[in-house]
Order: sequence, then structure tokens, then C-alpha cells
Amino acid sequence: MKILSPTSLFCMLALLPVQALAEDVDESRSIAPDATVSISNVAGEIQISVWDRNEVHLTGILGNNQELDITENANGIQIEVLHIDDNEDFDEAELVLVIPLGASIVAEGVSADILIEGSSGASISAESVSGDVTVQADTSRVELSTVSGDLEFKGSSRRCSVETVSGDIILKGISGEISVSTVSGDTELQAGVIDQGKFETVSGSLDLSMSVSDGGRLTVEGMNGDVELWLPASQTGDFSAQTFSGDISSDFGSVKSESFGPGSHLKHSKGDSGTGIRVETFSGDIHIGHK
Amino acid sequence: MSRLFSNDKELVAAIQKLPQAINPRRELWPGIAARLLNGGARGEDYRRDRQSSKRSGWRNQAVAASIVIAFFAGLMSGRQIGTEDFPQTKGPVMGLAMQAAHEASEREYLAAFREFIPVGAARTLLETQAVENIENSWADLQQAESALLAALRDYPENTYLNQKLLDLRAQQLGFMRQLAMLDQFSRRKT
Repeated sequence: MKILSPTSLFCMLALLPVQALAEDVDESRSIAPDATVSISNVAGEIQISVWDRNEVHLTGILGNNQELDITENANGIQIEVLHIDDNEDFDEAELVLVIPLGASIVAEGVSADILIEGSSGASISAESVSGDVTVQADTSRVELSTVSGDLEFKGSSRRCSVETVSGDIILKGISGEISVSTVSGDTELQAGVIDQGKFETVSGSLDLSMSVSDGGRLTVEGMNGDVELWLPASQTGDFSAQTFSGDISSDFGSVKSESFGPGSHLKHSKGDSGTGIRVETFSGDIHIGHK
Repeated sequence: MSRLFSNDKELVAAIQKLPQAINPRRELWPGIAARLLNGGARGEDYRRDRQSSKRSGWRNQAVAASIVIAFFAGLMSGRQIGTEDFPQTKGPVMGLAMQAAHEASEREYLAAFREFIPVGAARTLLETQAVENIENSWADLQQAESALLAALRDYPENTYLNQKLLDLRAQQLGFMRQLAMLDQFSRRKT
């Protein structure tokens, strides 16, 4: 048997095509407690949790033909999974990130699911195209967006903006300002006191429970989707509801049919808080009830 | 207060609520159009260039573009916009004002509509379920539009219906905007 010399072996190895295989990730960086942590992963999963250290710790597994790009800047740190070889299909990367409790978060995926737990950062932004986004946090501002992925937020937030096309939405603990827009996703909201609320849907149903502050504004606009709005029996304000071919039922005021043509509406005032509550649909049913 | 005057007030209020333009958070179309037509423009800085050169290619672009394609396929196979779709409102004041509002809305809608036309074909690379969901959502928008237009043919003077149609147009534009933003986001990331 012929034994290869070390030089021959080296030459042979050098001639082999280079292929990046799946690899484990284990990286740590020190950052400010209120820094912004940005993470981007096309496919797979992003899990973010918090601890009391001023440090980011990233573990996980990269897929084939992927590499990690970590950039530190004045605002914080940016982590991105890069695809190396165009001729290879996308692989999934599973990333587990632990960040400071007060760090803000920007998480982006295409088909990646995003899970954020425990953050008290000033702001959280998460968007994915077809992945699900799940957030449990106490934050000042949250922006969540998907196309077909489902969205869920639990915790507290004073400003919340949520958009989906077909993804369902569950929101619990929101107060202050909220904006929700969906085409066909169903929305379930259990909120505190809302100052400014705007909800739009085409065919998705809206199940909304909240109270509206004095002087606050709530607008709910749907086309075919049904709307259920649950308010405290003590809720004051100027209520209006209108539909063209749906039904309206309400614990606040009485419903009247249009004088000319189809449709029905409701107008009701209670107290002088200056609160405005307006619900409109084309063919969806409307129910405004006591919660 | 007469009913007509009340309607006019509501009409004016509705028209004033209309956006004169749907402004995305950043200018989208030039970049999108360039990428779609030229096979992928590079980013603004060196780092993005470097990353793009590593990651671009028909496969990656196709995945990103498929979001819009998925939507657009349903769009093209369905509705054809024609002036006959405009609600024929009556009355000297409401008719003119509402007609103008609708025409402005339709123009904007068509402009946005045309921007999607250069997109190539690669929808199969997106998850099937995601494609179906997007197409179903667009079908829901179409269905709502058809129902509204049918109702408007029966009740052309109904201010509420006219307002809802304008609201729907805004939602359709919002739908396109959201997909375009996510498309651009996907391109950036792939």
C-alpha cells in the first residue's frame, strides 16, 4: 500500500471544492444596556430572551452555505445570516439570542419564525413574510408585521402598530395608541385604556375588548368581516355605527334603519367626555357590547 | 338641516379624508422597478454590495420577487379596471365631487397596479401556503370591491357606499404598499 506523503495529502485537500457545512454558533459581545440589537435570518427561527448582563450571547446552528455577519456600531449590534453560494438552496438557521433586558430589538425574517420573550427595551420591531411572530414584552413601542404569518403580542405597550395580510393577530396588554391593519386575518384584542385606536380589515373578523379614554378616538372599519367591540358599561362618548347590509346590535343606544335604501346605523351619546367611537362595515355584522 | 346638505358635509369630509397620495415610509418604486427590470440593483454602500454579490442570483431574487408575483398573479387573473366600474353618482354637487374623488383614486390605483407588471415569474419558490394566503386575501379584496360596485349600481347616490369604495381603494393601495415593502425587505435580505 502506498502511503501519501504529508505534502501530497495537503495538495489533495487543497484541491477539494470548498463547501461550507452547517456549523454551530457561539458568539458573545459586550453592549450597552439600552443598545439596539438587530438580527436578520431569512429562514429558520430567531429566539430572543433577556438577562441582566450587558452582553449579547448568540448560539445556534447555521445552515449549509451560510455565514454570520456581526457588526458593532454606535447604536448597538447587528447580526445577519448571509447566504454564501447562490447555486445552493436556502437553508434554515436556528438562532438563540440572549440580550440585555433593556435593549431594543429589530428582528427580520422571510420565512423565519420570530420569538421574543421578556424584553423591556424601549422599542421592538419584528417582521417576517411567512413566519410567525410571537412577542412577550413590556415595551414603549412595538411594530409587528407579516404577510401570511400569525402575530401574537402579550405584555404591555403604549404604542403599537400591527400589519398582516392574511395572518391572524392576537394582542393582549396594549394601551395608548394602537393601529391594526389586515386584509383577511382575524384579530383578537384585549387592551387596557386606548387613546387612539384604528382598526382596518376587509374580510377578517375583529374581536376587540378595551376602554377608550376621555377625549380618545376609536375607529373600526371593515368590509365583509364581522366586528365585535366590547367596552365597559361605564364607557362614555359619542358612539356611531353604520353598515350597508350587515346587522348592528348594541348595548349602547338603539339601531335605526336607513330612511332610504338598505342599511342601518346607530348614533348615541353618553356623557361629555369628548370620546369618539366609530364602527363601520359594508356587509359585516357589528356588535357593540358591555364587557 | 336638509338631508342633501348633510350628505354634502359628509361627502366633503370624506373627500378631505382621502389621501392625495399614499406615501410609503420610503420611496419604493424607483428601486423596485430598477431591480425588477435590470435583474437586481446593488445596494447603496460597499457593505451591501459585498453582501449582495455573495447572495444575489436568480434563485435569491426569485424568492424575493415571488411575494409580489403571488399577489400579482391573482390580481391579473381577476379584475380588469375600466371606466364602467366607476360609480355613476347623481346630483350636481355630489356627482362631480365624488366622481373626481373616484377618478383620482382610480388613477392612483392604476399607477400602483402598473408598477407591479414588470415582475417576472418565480412564485413557486415561496411556500405554497403563503402564496395561497396572499392570493386568497386579494380575492377577498376583489370580492368586496365587486359587492360594493354592485351595490353602487343600485344605489349610486349612497354616500356611505361611495365612501366605503374609497376606503377600499385605500386598503388595496395599502395591500400593494405592504407587499412592495416586504418585497424590498426580502430582496435586501436575500
